[in-house]
Amino acid sequence: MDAPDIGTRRLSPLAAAHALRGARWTTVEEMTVPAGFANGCAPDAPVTLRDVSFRRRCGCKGAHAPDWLAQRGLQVPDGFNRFVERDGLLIGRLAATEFLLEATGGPHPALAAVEAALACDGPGAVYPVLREDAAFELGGARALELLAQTCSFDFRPLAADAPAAAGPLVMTSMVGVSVLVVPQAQPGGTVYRLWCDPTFGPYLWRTLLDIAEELGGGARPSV
Amino acid sequence: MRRLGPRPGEWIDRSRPLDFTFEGRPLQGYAGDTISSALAANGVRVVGRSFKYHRPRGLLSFANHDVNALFQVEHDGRSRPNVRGDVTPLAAGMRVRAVNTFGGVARDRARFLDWLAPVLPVGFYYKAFHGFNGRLLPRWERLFRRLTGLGALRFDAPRVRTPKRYDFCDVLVIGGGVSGICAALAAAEDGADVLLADENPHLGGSDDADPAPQAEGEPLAQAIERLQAHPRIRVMTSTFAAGWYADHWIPLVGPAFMTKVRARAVIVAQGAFEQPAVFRNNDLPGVMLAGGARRLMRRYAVAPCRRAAILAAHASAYDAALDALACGIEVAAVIELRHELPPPSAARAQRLAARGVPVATGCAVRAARADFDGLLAGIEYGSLRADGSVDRATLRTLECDGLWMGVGFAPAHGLLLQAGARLTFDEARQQFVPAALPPGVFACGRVNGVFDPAGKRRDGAWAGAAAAAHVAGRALPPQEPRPAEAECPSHPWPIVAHEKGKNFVDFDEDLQLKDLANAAQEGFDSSELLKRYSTLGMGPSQGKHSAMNGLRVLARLRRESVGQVGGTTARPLFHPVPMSVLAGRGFAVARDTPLHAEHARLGAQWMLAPPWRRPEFYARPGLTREQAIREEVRAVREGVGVIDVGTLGKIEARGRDAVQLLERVYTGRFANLKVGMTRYGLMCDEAGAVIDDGVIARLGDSHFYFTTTTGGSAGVYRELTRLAQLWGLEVGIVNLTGHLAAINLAGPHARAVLRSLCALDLSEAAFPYLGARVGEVAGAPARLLRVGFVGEVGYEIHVPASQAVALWRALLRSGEAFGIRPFGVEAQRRLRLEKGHLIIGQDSDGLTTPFDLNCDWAVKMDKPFFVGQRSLRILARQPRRQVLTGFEVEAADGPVPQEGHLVIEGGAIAGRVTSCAYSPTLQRVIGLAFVRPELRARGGFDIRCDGGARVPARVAELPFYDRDNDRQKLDPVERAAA
Repeated sequence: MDAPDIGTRRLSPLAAAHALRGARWTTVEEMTVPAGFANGCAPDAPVTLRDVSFRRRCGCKGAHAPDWLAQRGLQVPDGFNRFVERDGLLIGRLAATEFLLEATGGPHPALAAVEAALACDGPGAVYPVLREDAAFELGGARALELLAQTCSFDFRPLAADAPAAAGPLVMTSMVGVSVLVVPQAQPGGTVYRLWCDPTFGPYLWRTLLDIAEELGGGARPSV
Repeated sequence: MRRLGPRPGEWIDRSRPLDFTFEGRPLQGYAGDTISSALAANGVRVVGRSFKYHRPRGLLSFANHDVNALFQVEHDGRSRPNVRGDVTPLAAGMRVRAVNTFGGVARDRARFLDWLAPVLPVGFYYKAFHGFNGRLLPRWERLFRRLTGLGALRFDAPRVRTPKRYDFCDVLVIGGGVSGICAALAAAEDGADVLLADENPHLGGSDDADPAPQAEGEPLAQAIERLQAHPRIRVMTSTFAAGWYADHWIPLVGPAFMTKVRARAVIVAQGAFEQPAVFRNNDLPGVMLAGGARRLMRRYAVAPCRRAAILAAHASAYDAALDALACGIEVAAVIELRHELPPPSAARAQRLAARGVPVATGCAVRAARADFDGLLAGIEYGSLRADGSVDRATLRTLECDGLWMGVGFAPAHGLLLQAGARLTFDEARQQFVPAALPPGVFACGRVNGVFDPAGKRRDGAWAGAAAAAHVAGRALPPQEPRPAEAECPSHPWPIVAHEKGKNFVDFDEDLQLKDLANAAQEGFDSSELLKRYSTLGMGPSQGKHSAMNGLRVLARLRRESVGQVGGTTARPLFHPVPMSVLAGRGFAVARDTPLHAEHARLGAQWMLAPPWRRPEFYARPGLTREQAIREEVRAVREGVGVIDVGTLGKIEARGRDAVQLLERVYTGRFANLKVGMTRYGLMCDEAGAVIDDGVIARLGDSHFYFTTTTGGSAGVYRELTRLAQLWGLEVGIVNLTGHLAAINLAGPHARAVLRSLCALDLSEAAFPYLGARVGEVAGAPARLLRVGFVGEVGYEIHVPASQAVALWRALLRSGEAFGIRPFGVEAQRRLRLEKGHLIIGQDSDGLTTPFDLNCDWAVKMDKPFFVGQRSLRILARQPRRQVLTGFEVEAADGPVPQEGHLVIEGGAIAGRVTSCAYSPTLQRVIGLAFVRPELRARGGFDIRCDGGARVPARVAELPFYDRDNDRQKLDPVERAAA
């Protein structure tokens, strides 16, 4: 197994799985991620998987968390199991008082500010949550078929009317792994954003990739 | 049998011939053929041998339900047993063999068993084992193993991974016959999202074989076209529903994979199974169900025989006779069980009479006669008497090579029963029909007792509308009473006794009529007992062709009605499902620490700690496993080692009440734990049994960070969250197990290795044993815990998972000068054993208390409350029944006790070993064992090892190594200076 000779401090949680697929490496946001694969797939393949673990993210929870985020000028979803994305910052509400924040378009000052505030022991009853998730993007015309083979949640109604900026966030289980899923309309079609515990990431990636390849798809570079 | 000329609507593609072999004989069929239809088209009449007596068997149901047409098929490099020939599409190059033969179906060497039938009574299998001479039992077992079973398993066969899909719909319609089609259309037109599944490759059900156009309404073909074009209807053909599970989960099994469907409403329109008649030799090749014969003719253009006799009790049998005439097959006679024909049958009888086919009413077949090859050559029939027997004075014979039975049906109500339906026996229909269905479950068509084509349409349409209303939360539409049938679909007693037997009720298990009578006479006279004792309905068809006749027999034996006798419990799976389909892809969840690839590069040999995979040790060229482990132990004791402990549970608790939470869930005291220090914690359940342990670090006044056992993280997190809510505590709990990596750097040189990577003051005074610090190590934000689990100076370094590899590599680089070695789980186990440290789950079980573990010091009984305290108070007053004791094996060589080996005292069990291994440091075998307190006081005990060898053990004081804990105080340089 050829592990990347990393020059950065951060390494994708999926690196071991990528190495088995002959990954070429690059650095994005201080994380070593695949720039390509020996047998990658085309952008318009029926199913595509992309490792986006490099994105900066953090979490917070606590009784005052919704108000605390709102006071910082951040729009939080009205209800739990919902997300909003604005100006490159996605905020997912995982429970009444628990949030996931991810910078989707590169480093985001608001995210950095939240992290810094939380690191200083934050305000009362708002606690930081370290988020080192393995993060994927699943796309392609047959992405729903892959989901149907791996998850008992019915994504069809969400796929048909996937939102772009705000909508449902699904907490479910996929091939035995707890995942967060956000179906989101993007110019090329519906993309499913997935997050899972990083230690389950390689297994989930390998399993999804095997099925994706059966369906005529494969892995795409992170950038 | 032979292939007929082209037939309208036939399912075969004559432009695509396919070559295959049967029992080595080259044959040819067409694309669209099934294995069974292709065999029939080639004139193969014997397709298998019966399970018990190895009698020759031909096609019986041609409906995928009987045992006769099971094959061993080699194709595409795979050898598959028990392939169902009735429905498996023929493929070019298939090599087909009959199952359950010794030397081939034609010359089966086990056919002599047919002559042994008199000495193989019902329940023979049980009787053979019951009270039998013990010495002969293994021989019986081997004989049964050899003679029974269907097909051959190839253990070298490649693993077949099939997808499993989930699917969802508003209304699932099971069955694509007339009623199912009407139900699907009605539900879809009412706005429901509909999924229709049918076991056949084409829709239409049994009615696709109806020679007459539909009497009223839309033609069936047109309805099918409309259904297939409907935007809210999806169709899955060649797919059967294997069971019903709670909340309308239905596994749909297709040719290659399973789809688990969650429906909001289910319509069962599975129809009915045609039933055989019971008479002597009713299993001869050539005797088959009338519906099967019709399907062969109409769908596959195969003539089942040259000269047919029809045994009838329903109009469908007459339709089979008319089909035969249309195909140029001679129909010798119709033997009609009924004395008077109702209008539907009478009209057809007239048409037959006009073609010169005689109809003998009030008659029954008493026996079928075989030719030299064991094939049907003729029948013996006569007039039926009131008691169901045949008047022998009226016996006549008839030459024929085909006898088609059309005497009745049994509803396919397995799924309805699994769903909790209540059935009642309708005497007018001679069939069980639904009396009450659970919410969201509907039935229509033949399974609902409706056979009339127009009635089925109405029944289906109502079921579809009702299901759509159920889904929409509307009131169900009013339901018409079940319409009366123009003729009873089933004869109440299609059974004729014969003094020579071989009148089979169950074709799967070779059960004769007399077998059921004998079973009942022996006391097994309820439907459930009869089934188990006689194995009625326990073969591959699961009673689809035998249960109904079995009930009729039992009812007559008990002088009760069929309804009073009642059926047996229906359980999934409704129909046999290939193991490969059940197994699916075989997902096995695996969890890897961020350092997994690093371990692999270093030669890690893995051990499973599900779902984790951990390095047991690191292979080294020229070293055995044991040598490599001892080297790793030595490296930690004399230099420095590094181990990935990222699998430990890692939980954080913050908030005003965090300390309260810990005080209540751990047995120890944490209110007085200073910031920057750690303390060992034990967690008990309400019964006082130890369930977890770990190290609790106080990082701030209201900020705690603690570890749990590898297997305990999820459970502990869940329980803490539950208790925090239950107690109304203001505390935020975060499970960081996967998000933080953890590495234990241990050994006399650990401090020196770490010193070059972090700016923290690591001196004894600034960072003492059991201290906790937050800082940066190799540029990564880290939490450091001074631990001594392996008995040397150790630092557990916890960093964000994405930075673990960078840290690991930095530690290895920094430690090069000190001979740093990665060490695995086995070396860690030995190191901690030398130090006498426990592993919860290995040195404890579900009943172990802290007192058993000598951990009284970790239990603060004077606290106001902690989980398990009340139980421990009670236990503290009771004499101890066991205590964890260190021991050393006295003999220098000899067997080494293993975990689980028993301590024996006076011939009885007096304890068990929980840990035991050779100590490289102490150079002897040491271990931990639960023993009775008196044995510990005595100073020694015997351990029984594998094979019965007794190993004397001497009680040893714990810890075995570094009793004064000097190793934690100074590193080598400081120690030398001191």
